[in-house]
Amino acid sequence: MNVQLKRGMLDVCVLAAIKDTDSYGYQIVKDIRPYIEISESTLYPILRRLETARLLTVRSAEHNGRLRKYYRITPEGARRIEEFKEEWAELCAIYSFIAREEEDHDERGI
Amino acid sequence: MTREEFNEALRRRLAGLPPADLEATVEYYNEMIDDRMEEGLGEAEAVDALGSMEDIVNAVLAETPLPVLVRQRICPRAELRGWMILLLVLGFPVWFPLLAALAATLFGVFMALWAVVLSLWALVLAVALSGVTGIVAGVVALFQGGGPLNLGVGLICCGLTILAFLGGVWAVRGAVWLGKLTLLGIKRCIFGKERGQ
Repeated sequence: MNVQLKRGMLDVCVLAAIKDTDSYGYQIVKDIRPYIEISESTLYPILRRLETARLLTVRSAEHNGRLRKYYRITPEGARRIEEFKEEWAELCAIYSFIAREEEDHDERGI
Repeated sequence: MTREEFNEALRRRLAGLPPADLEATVEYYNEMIDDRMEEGLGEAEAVDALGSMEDIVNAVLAETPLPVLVRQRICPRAELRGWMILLLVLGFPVWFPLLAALAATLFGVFMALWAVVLSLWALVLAVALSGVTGIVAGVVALFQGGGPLNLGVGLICCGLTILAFLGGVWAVRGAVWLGKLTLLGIKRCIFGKERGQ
């Protein structure tokens, strides 16, 4: 997938991964990976960026005798997902425009 | 690679980060190692699964603003001693022109790069205008009983316009790519010195 397109999508994917329940880094990577390629080194800057933008908050909790960081979505983060869903309708319209152009070309044998 | 080796390498490579950011980064990757080990992976396997150190360092660098890196590099962690301040003040006529020259050189290289791109686009415009003029002149000449030379030249110019346009697009992409690479290079230089690499 195009790098620029992927960058914008990954932010929303990470927010979606913590939408219903708080989650931690490795779990987020595992949840997203079936849909879009992501590695720990890609996730780290995204989490920091989202935290700076106050779209999520971080807390440390004990797990098996060590501290693990859990990420929780903020109301602003939830709003970002909603915005993305609204933008999706526009994206679909653009997609159908692009796809229709191709069909026209196919029909004309170009 | 063991966890200890990984942590040591990460700290060395990110030595130019603000200490709090560095610790947060090390913590993050150690949590990942712990989580993988809980799933049954050995320590070395869990470290390897994180991917290459190069990717990890680049991802952190790309997201850290240049001013933060420069500030961290310039501001010493220990208090400035009296003789250091004296040296800085006395050495001002030496280090300031050097620094300014370096910045001016970088700026010059950047401008030169974009000047090439701009001139290429000027070429596209010139060839396009020649093409249009040639075709118009050619058609007029044909009606007045002249030869098709102008028309031919006009068509050739139109063809060249398409090629030059593609070249122009690639030049812009190349310049943007080179710019990003330079920025990353500068960031790496700031990091590099402390590691003695």
